[in-house]
Amino acid sequence: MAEGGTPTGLRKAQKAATRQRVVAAARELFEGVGYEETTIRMIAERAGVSVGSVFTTFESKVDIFNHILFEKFELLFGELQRILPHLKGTACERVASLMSIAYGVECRQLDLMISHLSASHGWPTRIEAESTARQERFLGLFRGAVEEGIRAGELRADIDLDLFVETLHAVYLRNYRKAHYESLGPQELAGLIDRQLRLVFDGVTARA
Amino acid sequence: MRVIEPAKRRTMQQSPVRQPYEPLEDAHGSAPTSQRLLSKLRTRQKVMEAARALFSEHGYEASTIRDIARKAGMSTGAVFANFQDKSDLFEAVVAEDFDRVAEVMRAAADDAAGQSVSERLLAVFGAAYENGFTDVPLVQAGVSQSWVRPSDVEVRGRGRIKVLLGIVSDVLRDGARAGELRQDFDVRLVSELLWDCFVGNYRRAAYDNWTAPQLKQRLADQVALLMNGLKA
Repeated sequence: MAEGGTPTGLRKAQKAATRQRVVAAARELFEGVGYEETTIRMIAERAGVSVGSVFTTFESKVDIFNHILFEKFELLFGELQRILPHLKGTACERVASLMSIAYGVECRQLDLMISHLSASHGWPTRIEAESTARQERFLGLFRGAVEEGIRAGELRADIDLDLFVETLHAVYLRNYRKAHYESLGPQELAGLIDRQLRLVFDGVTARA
Repeated sequence: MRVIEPAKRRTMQQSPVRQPYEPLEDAHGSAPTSQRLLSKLRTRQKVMEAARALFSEHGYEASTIRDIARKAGMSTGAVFANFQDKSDLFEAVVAEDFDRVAEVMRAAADDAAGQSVSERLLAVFGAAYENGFTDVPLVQAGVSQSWVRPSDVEVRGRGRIKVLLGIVSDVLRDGARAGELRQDFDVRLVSELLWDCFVGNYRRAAYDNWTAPQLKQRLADQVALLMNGLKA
């Protein structure tokens, strides 16, 4: 149809605008009231759209959340990649720097990060799969630093990389508890992670 | 040490008054007969069993006091006579598990006395996987809630974890005393890292259907990694 293009284009543009408003409203609510307490109705109200239009742009609340986490991740990953070429020091120090930067980024929207951590222990498998894929990219940066350490002869060659990187991740995440409940800032978290990483890296350092 | 500041949000369910395991009292202050006390205890136990089943099946948020009451075969009023709110009830269920797991872990540490530090650590955490925190969905609900609880509940939660970490720390200290481990390491830091690995592995159980022996095997590798750096 000759005239078909315009209304469809318009509808598309409207849909994109609705989607943007839904995402913005949801982000504010997830940060302010938390993921669990937020309902689709609250999101619709804040976005100034009907509950029905929320569902035309996203399948469910967790899918909106996942989209916001995707944006959050891209922001974090971008900053880490920018810093990557400038990292100096031992493998342990490079990993510590990456984590410190990540703390700095995530602490800017700490409430969202806490909602993320809480929701990650109950969300559906399809979200877990996407989250795991993002996590693999994030952990790939640590893995790169460790591999470089191995090549340089600084770390043992027989390291179980998956296990080691996963352990680094567990340590990295634990400190958000301190940020949340004890209001530690990024700098204090960086100090903590330094001590923890030295201990973890002790187990894989090549002995002369 | 920093004072824990009040949580900035999610304080709707604050339960500042009563510990869930505080001794039962008669509402009017008169000495309760042992019959009434017994029946109240039974009611409390029934509510906790129903709550445990629902929290495990549907998670924390999706379980309501109304559903719990129905499952327990009593009124919501009877539930509220025993627990202040859902968060209070959840905490009581979790506290019950932690008490039981502490016994299981302590027994495992004692049984493995005389073995190497790694073997003892594995016995302790393995017992927790196999006979301790065995309800994976309930563990997931607990970890999820632990990120968003009011600060008074967080403080009590930490107290419970500290008991379990104490058992792990004792094993580490024994190892240092026996000359198997270095003398100068930060025992608390190491036991916290081990705990993080232990809890973190539950994600595999929840999403990849790992069994207790698989979790234990993973932890064995993690223990080996950390102990390697602590060898005397």
